Amino acid sequence: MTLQRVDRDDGARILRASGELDVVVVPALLPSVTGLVDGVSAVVLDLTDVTFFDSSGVRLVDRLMRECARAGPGFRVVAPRGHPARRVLEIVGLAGSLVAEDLAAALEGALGAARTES
Amino acid sequence: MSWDDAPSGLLSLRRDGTVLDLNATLLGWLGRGRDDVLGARFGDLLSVGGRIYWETHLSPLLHVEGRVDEVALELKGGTGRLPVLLTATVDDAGELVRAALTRTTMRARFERELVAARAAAERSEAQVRALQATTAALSRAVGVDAVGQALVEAAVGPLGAAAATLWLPDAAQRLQAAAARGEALGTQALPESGAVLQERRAVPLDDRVLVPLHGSSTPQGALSLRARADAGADPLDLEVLTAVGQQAGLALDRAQLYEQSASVARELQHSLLAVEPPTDARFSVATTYRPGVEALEVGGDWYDVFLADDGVLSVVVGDVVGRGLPAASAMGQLRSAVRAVAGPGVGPAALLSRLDRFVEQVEAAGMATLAYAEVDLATGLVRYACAGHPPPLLVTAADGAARLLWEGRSTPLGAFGPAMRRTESQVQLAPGDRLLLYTDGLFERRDRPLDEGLEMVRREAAELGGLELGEAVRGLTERMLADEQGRDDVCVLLLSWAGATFERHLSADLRRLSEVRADLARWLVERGVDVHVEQDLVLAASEAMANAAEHGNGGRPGTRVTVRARVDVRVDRPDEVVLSVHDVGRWRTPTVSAERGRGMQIIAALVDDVVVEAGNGTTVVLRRRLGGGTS
Repeated sequence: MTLQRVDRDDGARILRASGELDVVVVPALLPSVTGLVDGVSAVVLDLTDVTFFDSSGVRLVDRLMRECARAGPGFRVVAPRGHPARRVLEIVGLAGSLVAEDLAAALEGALGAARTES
Repeated sequence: MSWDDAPSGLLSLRRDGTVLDLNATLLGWLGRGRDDVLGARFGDLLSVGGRIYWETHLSPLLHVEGRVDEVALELKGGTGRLPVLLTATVDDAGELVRAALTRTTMRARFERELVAARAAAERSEAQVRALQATTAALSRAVGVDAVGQALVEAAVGPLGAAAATLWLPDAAQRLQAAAARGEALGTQALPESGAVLQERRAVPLDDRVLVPLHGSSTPQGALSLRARADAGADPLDLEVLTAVGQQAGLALDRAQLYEQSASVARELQHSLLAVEPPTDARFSVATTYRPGVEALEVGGDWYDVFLADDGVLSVVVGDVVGRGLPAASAMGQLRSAVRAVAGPGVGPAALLSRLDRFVEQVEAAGMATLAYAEVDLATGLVRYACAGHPPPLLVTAADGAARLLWEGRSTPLGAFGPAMRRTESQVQLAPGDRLLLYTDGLFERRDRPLDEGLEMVRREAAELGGLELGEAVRGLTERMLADEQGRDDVCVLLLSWAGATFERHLSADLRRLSEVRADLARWLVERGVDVHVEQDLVLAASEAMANAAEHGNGGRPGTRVTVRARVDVRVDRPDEVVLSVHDVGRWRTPTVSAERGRGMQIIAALVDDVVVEAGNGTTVVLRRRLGGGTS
């Protein structure tokens, strides 16, 4: 599992996850999330390359969502239709407008949300 | 000796029976005067019966034969009837009859005494026979009840009583009516006399005889007999009954000791066989033990089921020679020895070799027979060996056929020198196949060849193949033992293998969780599970394992717990995957943490059924039907 950070010129930050997001790796990741959303206008968690996603992944999404709500940036998740993460997020009721089909849609949504909220 | 002085009555008659002359002796017997008698008919001197007999038989006989000898008649005497013997002759001319009469009083008494003596001798012999018959019956009886029945049976049989009741002490040492013949049980009251019971002899009491029964130490009870009232019946013989009382007391002593020993053996055997067999989704086992119908004492039959290691199930059915406590304790030792010896890498043949060495130390276990089988629960491969034991039976699920497994046979334990090798064989189970082990009591009958009995087991087991395991065992024993004739103890063990399984162990830190998921995914795909269902199941399993790790460590950080995941493609429902995750801890309410609450929410959405079973740790069982997604 890796979590790669990409900061764009438009103020959006992409967090690109790959590999397995499960109960073993996510707890170690959570403490670093707090500072991760400060000073940017939008955050996108891209789960496209994630191969396994369970309730621990939901926990990561949940934490990022709360942090963004606190610090201000808009937040979207990339999980295409049929992707394992999409299924799980739907089960726990977090899909809806939070989850985008691809990165472009996610960025648009996140930046739009930030603008709306600010 | 003159005519008149003769000690016999003498007289002469004419051919027609008219008295011509008679002597003084005869006149004295008759109490009549000479003139009164002369000219009378001889028949008139006799009793009515005598006269008829004389006139119709003796007189004609006398004239045909010329004489009669010692014919018994009765004279009408002066003081009553006189029994006499008549001897008479007819002269050559056939005109004159000369007769002599002798009194038979003395002779009759002598003859009566002879008859009495003979009767007494016969009765004495009958008494000896009665005592012998009673003693034999008592010694044949096994157990206190049987001794009691034999005793009252003998009382109205050889001992000649009309009725008899036996009293035996209850748990509180009060005498209670225990058996009766010739009168209903409980209708007689025990004569209220402690002193009589202390007697060591039979005592007449009113119209009965009371016989105290003394064991080696305490009075064992009492037998009360009523004599027959009919004419000609012999009175009850006190000496014989005294001897019977002593014999019966000792017989009851022996019976009690025997029952105590038999009871200990029964309890020992019961405690050894009552152990619950292990339960597991990978296999099912049903067993039964039925004690023999003829003997009170248990035999040395046993069965056992245990996991030799985590993936190998051992089943054994055996039979120790002999009965009672020695057999039961030898069985217990041998059973423990099998458990101790069986283990990873040993195998049936080596196990038997080690048991051979064991029975050198435990003599009572020598010549024991057993069938032993090890089932690899992951693959269904069975390795088995029989030491002088009836062959295991394989019932195949696919076609319902049953066949005896005649390979892997060698002699009973300890029955050969150390140079001889034990052999084993193997057979492959398909999911749902059943393996039957049993002792010879199931099919061995005195009046039936062994191969016919085995064939019957094979046929019945095949017919019952469709039943649930426990019902199949019950049905088989009921059918095989329907005759109840001469049946020995019976042990039956029926094992069913569920099919291939997936099994992994993890520590509570879930370090190998990703690896287990990958293995499970591969295993499911190999079994033809649709890739979407496979992903759902792997996710559900992963969530369940995470739950188990969290709950299984009991909130103590660093505690290592074992987590198991297993998938069965069940034989009885081939369209279903059953996945179970086991931990050694207790599950708390899943809402304790939001993540675990979400975990359960996710599991519930992915499978058709979730059951959490608490017991030895916690097992969560997940079921997912194949051939369609969940909605």
